[in-house]
Parts: sequence; structure tokens; C-alpha cells
Amino acid sequence: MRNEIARLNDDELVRLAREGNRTAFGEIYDRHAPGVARALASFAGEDRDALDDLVQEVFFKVIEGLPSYTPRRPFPHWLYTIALNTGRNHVRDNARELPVDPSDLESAHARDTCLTDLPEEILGARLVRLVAALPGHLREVVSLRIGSGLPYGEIGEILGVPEGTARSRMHSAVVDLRASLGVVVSEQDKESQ
Amino acid sequence: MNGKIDIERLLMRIRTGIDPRVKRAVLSRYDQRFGSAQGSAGTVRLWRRPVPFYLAAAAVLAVAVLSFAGGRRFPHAERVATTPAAVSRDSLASAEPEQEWRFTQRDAL
Repeated sequence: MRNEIARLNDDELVRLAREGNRTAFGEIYDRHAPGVARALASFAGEDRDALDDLVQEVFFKVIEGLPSYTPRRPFPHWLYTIALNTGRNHVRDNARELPVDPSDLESAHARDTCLTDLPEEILGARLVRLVAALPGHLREVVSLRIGSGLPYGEIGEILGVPEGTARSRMHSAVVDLRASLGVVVSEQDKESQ
Repeated sequence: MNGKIDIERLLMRIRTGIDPRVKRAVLSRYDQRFGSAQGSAGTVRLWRRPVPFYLAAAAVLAVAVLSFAGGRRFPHAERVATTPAAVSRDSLASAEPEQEWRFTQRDAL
């Protein structure tokens, strides 16, 4: 039963979950919660409890919205729209447009003498902090991209901007992050700038 | 200076653990909303209480019902027992508590 459920696509799982199939909803959670958490990490800053609360809030909203949900778009489109709004509300309610002290960017730049030697998890945690310090419009596109893995066209629709804008924002964000980390801009980036 | 790092790849591989209690809470909310019969660890299910709980509850309920019914069936039992006209002076003097109880019951019937 569990294996059969795991083979179903999102739309089939949603249909079963709407009929009261708890296993199907559990599979939806298992499949998407890590991505939602990754997307919301920069909104929560370094507050681990806040991140758990945000993930929980997103799925509570999904449960409330399931009966009226109409699959006109792929399920992740709906899910990450909810996640984005939840993250925005959290930032607004906590007056944390910049959850991380901007001076961290300079200190990060100064102390990163050999980033390639750092374990990925440490580098990843530092990146989350730096993403949190990005301007809102860049942070949102990065969060959706790394959380959902959706194509830029979908991300643009969620954000209400053209695909090209979403793509260029992601590029700007990556360049900013690289600069913050003190990483040499690759030749490819130099060509594209 | 640093070597080349693929920022996008690092971003995509960021791991953010979620407290397992979040899933339990979410499934519990799902159960409340959709009435799932499968229950969850975070929900106290009535039919998952131990058997002694039901036995004790049934005993308490039975005592309560019997007490209530007894009071309704013999509403004047106590009053009759203490009314001098209903009991002779001799019988009052020699009456054991048990006799008095039988008398009031029979009288009420």
C-alpha cells in the first residue's frame, strides 16, 4: 500500500487525500516538506523553531485548502504560492526584512580564506544566512528555486513576473552570494555579465 | 583566493531538518479535518484507551444511574420512615436499621 502510494503523482495523491486517505497525505508531506523547509529557511533566518512553525503553517493551510483546491496548475505551484505568502507574512510580522545583520556579509567575505575546504553543510548554513540578507525580490526567487526546483517560468508566475525577470534575479542573487562568500567569479559568469 | 564554487549546486543541496513533531501535528490536523479513521501518534483516540478505563467509566456510570433511579422511585422513602404516624412507638423502639429500611420500602411500594 505504502509503495503503491509512493508511485503516484502529485495530482493522484491530492485526489486521494481529499477523499480522506491519510497515507496519501503523509506521502505529500514526505515528498514536499523538505523543499518547503529549504524555501522557507531564509525567511526564518537562524531561528530553527520558526522554520518548523512555518512548515507546519504551510501544511495546515494546505489541509484547509484541499477541499476547494482545483488542479488547474501543478500541485507544487499551489504549494509554493502558499509557502511564499507564509514566508512573506512571517517577515512582515516580525519586521525582519533583513533577518541577518548586513555586516555579516563583510565579515563572511573577510574570513573566507579557503571556502573549498569547508564542509558542505557549514557552507550551506552560511549560504542560508546570506540568502536571508538578500533584498526581498532576490531572496524570494532564490528560495523558490532552491526549494521547489520549479522551472523559471513557474517561479515567475508565482511571483507575478516574467520568466526572464525571474531568471535574471536568480543570476543577480548568485553573483551577490558569490561576492559575499568571496568566491572568484567564474569565467562563465564574466562572459554573461 | 578561493577556488570556484558552484553556488547554485550548493543552494540546491542545502539540508534543513524538520522536527518530526511537525509531521505528527500536520497529520493530526488532517485527521481532524478529514476524519481519518487511522488515527495518529499526536491524537488521543477514544477507542485506544486501555480496557480498565472503560470498565471504570462503566462502573461510575452504573452507580450514577442507579442512584438517580432509586431517588426517583422512592422519593418519599426517607420522609415516610421518619413520620411518627407511619410507625408505632413500639416498633420504633425495637426497630433495627435493617427492619426500618424494609418497612419504608414496602410502604412506598
